[in-house]
Amino acid sequence: MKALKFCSVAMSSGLLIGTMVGWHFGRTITDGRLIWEEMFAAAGYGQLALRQYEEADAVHARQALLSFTDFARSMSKLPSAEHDHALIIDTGRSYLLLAAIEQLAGNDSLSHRYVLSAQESFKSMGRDIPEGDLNNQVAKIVKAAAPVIPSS
Amino acid sequence: MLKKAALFALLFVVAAGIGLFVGWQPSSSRERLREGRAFGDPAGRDFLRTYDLIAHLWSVNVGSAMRLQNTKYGPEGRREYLNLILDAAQKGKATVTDPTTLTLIDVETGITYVRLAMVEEAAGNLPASQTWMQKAQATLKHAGWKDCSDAHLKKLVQALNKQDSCDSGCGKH
Repeated sequence: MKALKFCSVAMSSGLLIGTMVGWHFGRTITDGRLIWEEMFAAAGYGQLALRQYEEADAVHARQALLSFTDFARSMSKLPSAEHDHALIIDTGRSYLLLAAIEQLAGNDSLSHRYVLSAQESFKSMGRDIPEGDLNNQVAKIVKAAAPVIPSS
Repeated sequence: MLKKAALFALLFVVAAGIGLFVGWQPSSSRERLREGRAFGDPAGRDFLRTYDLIAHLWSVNVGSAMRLQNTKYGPEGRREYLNLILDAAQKGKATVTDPTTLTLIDVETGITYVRLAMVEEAAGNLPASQTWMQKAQATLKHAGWKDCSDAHLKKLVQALNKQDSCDSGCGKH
């Protein structure tokens, strides 16, 4: 009887401590893996869209950047993306690139809408950038891209 | 007394091992479920498939860029890793329906073809290098690229190898 009690104390204390440690590390390590995966997905999609902006024609560049902003919007619902400011910055930057594409294409009202979307995006991470500053950024992008992006 | 302590320790360790597994599984599954909770509808499931694919593709891309930058790896090791990207892209394309995402996967495939062309060129296999380069040019042209010349693609990929291999060690961009 005494031996049985001895064994059950050893087993139950081991089981309890093991379960608590397993629960903690299972959660922590899985969270880490999910954040890692989120970083790869955001960086991958963002980089490929940016590559399209730099290398492809205006139609493909526009599609890729819009697709990235949609993807980023969906990603923002993921708990692992909760503190990913890089994703928000990339989204804002994509809106600025879209604004530049539309400005070059002569679609000024759409360009303005994208500037406002960029502003909204930066605002969501606590950075209230004046519209004038964003317009200056778009002007810089337009100046740099003017010889390579044909209007459509 | 020593025997008793050893038995206690043994039983404790065995039970803790079982407990570790018992605790790990549900907490890990719970976190995964929580992650995908907002994506229960068909559009959400589509997004998650694309998300998993891009995350996987990019992790292999970073790994291959590191191998291309590291002189320790020979052509065989580099080829092997680059083929992993092509496999992942090919399998992934079957699960994705969005045309723009498919184009982005083509861009990654095209860049991988250029990397393979450069690996073969460095190994002295010029016919294989030319074949990969032609495939790259056709793929990237289809993706809307304006300049698909050998010189431009090689210069771009050299820059990407540096940038992408640095991604894993120096931050995201």
